[in-house]
Amino acid sequence: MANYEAVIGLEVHAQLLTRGKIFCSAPVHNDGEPNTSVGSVSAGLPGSLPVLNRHAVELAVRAGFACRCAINPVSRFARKNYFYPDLPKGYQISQFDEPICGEGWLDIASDEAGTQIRRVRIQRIHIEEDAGQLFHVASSTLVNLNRAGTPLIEIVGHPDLRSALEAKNYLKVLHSLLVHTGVTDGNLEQGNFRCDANVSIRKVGDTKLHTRTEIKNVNSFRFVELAIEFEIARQIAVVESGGKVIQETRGWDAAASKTFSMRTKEDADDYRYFPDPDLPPVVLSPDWIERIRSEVPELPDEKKRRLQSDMGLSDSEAKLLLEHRDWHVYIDELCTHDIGAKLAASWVISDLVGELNHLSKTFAENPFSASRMAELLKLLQGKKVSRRQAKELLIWWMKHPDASIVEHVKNENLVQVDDAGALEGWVDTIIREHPERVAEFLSGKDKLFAFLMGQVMKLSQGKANPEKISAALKKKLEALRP
Amino acid sequence: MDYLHFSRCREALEKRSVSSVELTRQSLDRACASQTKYNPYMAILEKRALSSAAQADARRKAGDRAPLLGVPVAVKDLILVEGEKCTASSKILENFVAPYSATAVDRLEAAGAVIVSKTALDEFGMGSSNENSAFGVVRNPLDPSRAPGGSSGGSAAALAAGDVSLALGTDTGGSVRQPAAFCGITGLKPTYGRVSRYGLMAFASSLDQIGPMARDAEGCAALLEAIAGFDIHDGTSAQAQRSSYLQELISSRSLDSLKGLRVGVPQELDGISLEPAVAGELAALRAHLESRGALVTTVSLPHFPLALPTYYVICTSEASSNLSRYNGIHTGRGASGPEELSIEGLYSHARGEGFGEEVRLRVLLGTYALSAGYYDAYYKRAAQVRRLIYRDFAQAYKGVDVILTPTAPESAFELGSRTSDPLKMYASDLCTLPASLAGVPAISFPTNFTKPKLPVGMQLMAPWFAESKLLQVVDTLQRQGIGGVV
Amino acid sequence: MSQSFDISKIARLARIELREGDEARLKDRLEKIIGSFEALQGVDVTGADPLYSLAEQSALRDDVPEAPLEREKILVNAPNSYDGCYRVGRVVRSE
Repeated sequence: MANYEAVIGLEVHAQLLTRGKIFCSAPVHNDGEPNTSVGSVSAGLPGSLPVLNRHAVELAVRAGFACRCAINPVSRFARKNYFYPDLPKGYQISQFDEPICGEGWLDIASDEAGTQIRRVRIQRIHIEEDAGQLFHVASSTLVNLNRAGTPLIEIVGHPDLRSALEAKNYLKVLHSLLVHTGVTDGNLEQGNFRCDANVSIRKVGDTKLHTRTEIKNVNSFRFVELAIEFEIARQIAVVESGGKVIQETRGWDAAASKTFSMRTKEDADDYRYFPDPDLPPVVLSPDWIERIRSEVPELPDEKKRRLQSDMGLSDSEAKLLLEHRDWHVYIDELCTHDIGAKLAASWVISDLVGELNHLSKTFAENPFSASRMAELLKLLQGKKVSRRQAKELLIWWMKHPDASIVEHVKNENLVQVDDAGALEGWVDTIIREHPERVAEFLSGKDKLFAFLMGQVMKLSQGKANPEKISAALKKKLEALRP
Repeated sequence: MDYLHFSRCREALEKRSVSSVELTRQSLDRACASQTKYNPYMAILEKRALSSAAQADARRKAGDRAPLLGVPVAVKDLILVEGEKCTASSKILENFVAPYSATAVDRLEAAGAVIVSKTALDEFGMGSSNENSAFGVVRNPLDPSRAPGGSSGGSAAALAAGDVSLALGTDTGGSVRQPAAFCGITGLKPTYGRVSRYGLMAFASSLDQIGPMARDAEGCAALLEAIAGFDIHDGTSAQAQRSSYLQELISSRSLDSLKGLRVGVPQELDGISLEPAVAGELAALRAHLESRGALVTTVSLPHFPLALPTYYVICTSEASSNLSRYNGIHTGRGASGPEELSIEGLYSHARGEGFGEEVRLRVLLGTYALSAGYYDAYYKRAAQVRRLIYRDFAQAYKGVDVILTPTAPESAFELGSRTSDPLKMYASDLCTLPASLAGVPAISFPTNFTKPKLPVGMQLMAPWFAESKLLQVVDTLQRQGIGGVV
Repeated sequence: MSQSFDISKIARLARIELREGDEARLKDRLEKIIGSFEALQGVDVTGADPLYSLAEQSALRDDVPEAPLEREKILVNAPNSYDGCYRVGRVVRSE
């Protein structure tokens, strides 16, 4: 492994978030009965003609902005001709030498810790239609065209990736970008985000590209990583034993943890690409491009930086928030109830989520609407209870979700005691009861301050306002210095 | 009852001297008789027609006076009519039932026209003689030993036989105009994009157009007015404003459309050998136009002679892709026979059995032209030459209003006389191909100055979207008695 | 170019099974027509953008889904169907 390097390029297909199909107005399928979401165009009926869905164009351009691609003002559709039962027209409408987006880039981590960041290049993004689906039943094959005509973009990366880990990170970054910009919902299980990996190897220092294999139909990021790792090792073994890597398509056998040969590329069809005469060129005016640019939701790394500054979050907290849109929505709602952003964010991320996890509940199972939660947070914000108390209240509240938290706090007399007289009384009592510790503190053992604090809090049964106690204790101790 | 002219049909219906149901019945009877003699039909739609006719009569009673209301129309069997078979005159679509109607058909029926029949054609539109139908040749009613022309031979024959006064055909390289010429009727190929192609089984997508056919320009104008205009279901449909072709035609009759008309005759015609009758008619028409104040000059369309190879590269390439959907799996007759076939075998067997020879030939040609290594030399290059042909027309129209040529170099040839030599057959379209490639509108109309034995058609071509000009000029000539039409 | 016309290869690509005598009969006609294409090679096409379609403006559709075609209408013309799907013999390529 030391003298070889891997050369990996990924082709990702993502389904665009449109309501209708790309060239006909049938709805994008929703797992209904077979062949119930098919229009004349997606059925390939004689006399049918494709008409392009405007929103598909806008989402493709948006994807281009997300990947910092050049946007081509004029692009054209081409027919990719081949015969297969999932393709009723006998050709797929795609883009060939005039795609909608050109060169772009992504920043990805080369290491597990995410500290080594590298920029890798994207070659192009083009628009195409999806094919239908085949099911094998006994000795027959059944064809369901619900998926035929669904709009896809294909993002073609340069072979700049050098490890399976980089490939996995590339997919994660790309996935996050496209989901956050509303281009796709990126559901891997449903096949809305698919990846094909082109893998080859060469000796370190060699700059040529050698024979590659294509790994298809791997539907999770983890499996892509494993498959590529396996394939790299396999190719090295082939070459080391004097053999040659064959250009072929390979699949991933998850059970056996290995790639296997599907068909050799020699059999590949001649696709006879030519510009589709039914579709005039797609022309993007500068105004339109600008409008799409202005509609691109904030990109994740910009957003992360903003969250960190607005909400005082750490890098990892911000990352968590980006990944959990539902938490973010909840935090925003808390803010509408006059809870400060920083408090709301840290409360949700650490305390609320922490408690839900402890109870093995999902965030959706949080029983408290934002307005109810705000009642508790108002007490904290107004320093009526301490953070620790608030956490304990939450724990109690989860067990009694129908109770009014404000009532409970009143009934249990849990409101922090602010009253200076009471506070000073408690401080005096503790100073009196622990003369040795006080003396040790005054002689320099600063750590004992915490001990004394703890004693006061215990005496107050947790009701004392910690800040006030701290101030009072400090003052009284200082007064005792010789 | 004179069915020959749309205007008389319309008049009779408006005067109530005949009802649509009666007129339709007569049309259906005539069609049945023609069928045994000339074989122009794939289907005669008795039930649908009588039902539409009854509705038309009811509409008329309620005060509707639309021009096409209650008028029988024949439709080429390449254009879908919902619920009726649409065969493209091919075995592979023998039992295909149209799940929807073409936009042109919807518009016709909305205008109250009565669709009486589906006419035979050269299979999938490929041919110039209607000898390529899988269901028998169509004969020219004016001389049954001769071809009616193609590929809209059935529609032309239906008109010539007097079964209907209006018909829809389709024109890719001359398939409306050349049969119009052979059968002595009038046929128009609109500007590319003028009429929606939605519901027209595609042959060559960048060339196909549905075209009106009738005895005279007035009939063509009535049809065009009903079917022309932008359609959201056709991405190549033109957004240019459509005209009220019939209204404009009638109101233009008070003007003299020939005086000062600048007519160009391409000098490249010298390179085409014309049958004496055709040459004679061309010369006579020139003289007639001049005598009526038109200015007839020579123009040059330098790339005219390249139209044949340009057209055949493009149309076969596009056709090879458009016909991939006829596969015996989703659409079309499945492979026959009990043997176990691979997936490839299923496709190949169904298509090999289902497609006629001309279709197989053209699909193979197109597949070859687009195949790896040949794209630049064939399809791309043909598209470049097509650009040059387009520019030739644009240049010529700077100096003339219309361009005049014969529609075909010859009149109707004998059945069987061209089938052995493909290039000879294709040469029948030499004069019609350039307009298809450039996308300009072109009309064929009969002339009979020299009393030719068989009909001879002349062709006028106008700038893009100037159909009105063509219709008005031909209407004027026809009202002057040219072609013995009126 | 016409010398390299391999009719069986093209027929396979086009999925059209050649019939008895097709090869002989068609090959001849094909070569003749392809021969006529040679005339295009000598043309000076400098500065001529290929004209692929006369339609210049792209008419775009709004993203408003409409009712799909009824399944019956789609399958009525399928040579073979089963349980609401088109049916084919077992597909050899697994993809």
